[in-house]
Amino acid sequence: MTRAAAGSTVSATEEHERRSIRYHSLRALYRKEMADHVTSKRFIIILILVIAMTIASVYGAVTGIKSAIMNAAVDKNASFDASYMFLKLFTTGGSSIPSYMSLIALIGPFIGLILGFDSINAEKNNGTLNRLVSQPIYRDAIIIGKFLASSTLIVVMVLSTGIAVGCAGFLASGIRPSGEELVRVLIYLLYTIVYICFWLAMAMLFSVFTRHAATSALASIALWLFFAIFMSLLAGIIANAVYPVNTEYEQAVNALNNYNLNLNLNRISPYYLYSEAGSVLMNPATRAINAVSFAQLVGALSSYLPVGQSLLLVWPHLVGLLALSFAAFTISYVGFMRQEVRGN
Amino acid sequence: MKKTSRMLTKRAGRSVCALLAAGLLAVTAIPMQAAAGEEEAPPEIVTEAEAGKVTFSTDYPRVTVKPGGSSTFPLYITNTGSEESTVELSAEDLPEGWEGRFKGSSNEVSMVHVGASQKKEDSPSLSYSLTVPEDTKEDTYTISLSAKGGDVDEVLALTVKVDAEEKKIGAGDFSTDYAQQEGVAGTKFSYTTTLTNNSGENMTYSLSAEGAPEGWNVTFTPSDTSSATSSVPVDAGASSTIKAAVVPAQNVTAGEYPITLVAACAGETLELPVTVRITGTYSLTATTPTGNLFASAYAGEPKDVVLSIQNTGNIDLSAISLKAQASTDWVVTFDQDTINTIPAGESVEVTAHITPAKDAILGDYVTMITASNDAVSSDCALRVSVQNHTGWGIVAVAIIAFLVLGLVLIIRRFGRR
Repeated sequence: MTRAAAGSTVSATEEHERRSIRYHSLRALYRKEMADHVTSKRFIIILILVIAMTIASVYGAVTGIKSAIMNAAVDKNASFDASYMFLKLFTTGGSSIPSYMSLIALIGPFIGLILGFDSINAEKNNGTLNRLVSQPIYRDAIIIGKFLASSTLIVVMVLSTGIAVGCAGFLASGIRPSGEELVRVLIYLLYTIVYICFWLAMAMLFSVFTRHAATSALASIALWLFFAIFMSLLAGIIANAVYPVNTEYEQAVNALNNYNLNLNLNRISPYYLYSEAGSVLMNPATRAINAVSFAQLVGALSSYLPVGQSLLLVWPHLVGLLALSFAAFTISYVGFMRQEVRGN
Repeated sequence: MKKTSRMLTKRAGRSVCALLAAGLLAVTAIPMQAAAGEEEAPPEIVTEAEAGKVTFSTDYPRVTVKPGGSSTFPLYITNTGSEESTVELSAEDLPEGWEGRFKGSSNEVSMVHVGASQKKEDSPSLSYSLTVPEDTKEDTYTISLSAKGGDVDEVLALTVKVDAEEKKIGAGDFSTDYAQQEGVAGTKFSYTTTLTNNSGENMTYSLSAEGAPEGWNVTFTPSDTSSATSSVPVDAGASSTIKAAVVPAQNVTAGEYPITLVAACAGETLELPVTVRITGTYSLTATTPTGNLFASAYAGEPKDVVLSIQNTGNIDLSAISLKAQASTDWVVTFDQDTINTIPAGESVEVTAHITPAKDAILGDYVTMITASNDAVSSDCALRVSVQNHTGWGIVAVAIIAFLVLGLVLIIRRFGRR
């Protein structure tokens, strides 16, 4: 609007100056946010969470792989696939400890939620936001700076846990990664970053539109619980209602439709999307993500997909997760920009 | 009989000698049978009948020789008596200029020992070789060979006809029992041949094979050696067994191959026609020209795979049909379903159009391609990897770029406050 009014009268130097102010203000806010996060007590909580998760999953993977090998050595029927061993460090769990993959799918969102749930409304309630917007800075720098600072922390944390799991697993088991495995792990970590950033955006969305930090925290946790736990239950209920499979006849007629509906409903959940993408990326033997008929399996050889083909199988997942994150951030951005801060 | 006579000899002592010698002449006409009958006869009569006889003989006492030629007479001395003796050999009535000598085990001899009861087989290898001078007139000559010594006085008359036009006594013979043999390609054929020298002279035959196709190998091995040879000596009147081994070329096609085995010497050329029949072997191999049995295809889109159908047998194959066995809903067609003929050793390239099912999952499938006719069939297992188009990945990147652009636009729109 301003731009339309100023239009042609704004000279090139002014435009440049404005940009540089914008950049500087964004950088100052980004640094401030980072400093706040790193020195805060909640950062220590996240750190403990992440370290515990890493140690537990490495321990689980090493014991799990060891017992699988022992099993295969003793029991003739049990087989152990020795290919892509490095990836197994991420996908194998111990007897009671979930694998790194399932742990991060469940706990990862929590990191995003903790970093973002009170980012706007807490400052609003403290009155610090009031002071901030009275500074000669653009208002969008505040929300962008907060988001960037939090997502930087997420990137650092995800990469360091991923690399830590790989290194610790290598030290404990001696499993050396191949180039392809490293590529797969890196792509998987990228998916993880996008996934957790979605939850950060979600938490920020709640913090923009709710007045109290407690409300936004509860709302984000409720959403997380819903997607992580209840969504699959709900999908099952709906699928069974639409395509009942109670009798043998119904099973014969509806089984495939029931499964497909269940699957598609589940895919609304970012938790499911992320888990599915991870299982395809980290398990090269996965050749399809939809229901496979016996007819499709005639003449199929058990083989591994190359990275490119695995990636082509799950690109919609990445696009979906990114779209969800962008949508959440855009809504919170627009909402924040339109809010009357001074009136508070 | 020998034993009895020996015992008698001891008992009678030297005094019997005179009696024996007298009997020797007297019993000359008595055949062996009479002597055989003696066993039952009482000993005192045996003494009388004991007198043996030394005979002096040859196989062919009448021969024809060219002027300047020569002839060898094998001589046999037998003795039906129990007395050993040593006789002196000599030739009488030898015409002027003729040369004759007795030979015994490679030396010239003039005396020979005659054992007691010596039969023809036991006779020492004694022979008389006669050389007729060039200028001898055509005529019939008689030479008397005599063996004298002790009580023995035997004369053997040899009649030698000198004839300038003397021909070979008989043509040589080169034959085998099984002149026609058959087998599959790769068989080594072996002919056991007999080469007979019916001429009067020792001959050395050079052996060869004619009419064998290129790449074939024919070798001759005499039965008394293990190594192959190209010439073999055969004594006059003797025969030699020679093994002729025929090894056909590696890529021989089925059919009949007549080969002539030739034994040639100075005077004659003997031919032995033999036939090798190579029976056909059917063999077919289906593969790709490069041997690469992997192909990648996209679901629902045809993929061309060039196949190479090779006739690895030695018979032309005809009416070879191509079939494919693939997963459900896959379509495999060939640019020619039936190959009319593949000549032996040749190959034909056929293109297979493999279309994976639309809903084929990513990864590897096996597609079996079978080439067969009534006689033979061959499978070719192709590994077909179903892939996704990379284009979809670009679509993903485009959508992500679009999202980023949207966000930037929103920030621009609202970021001025």
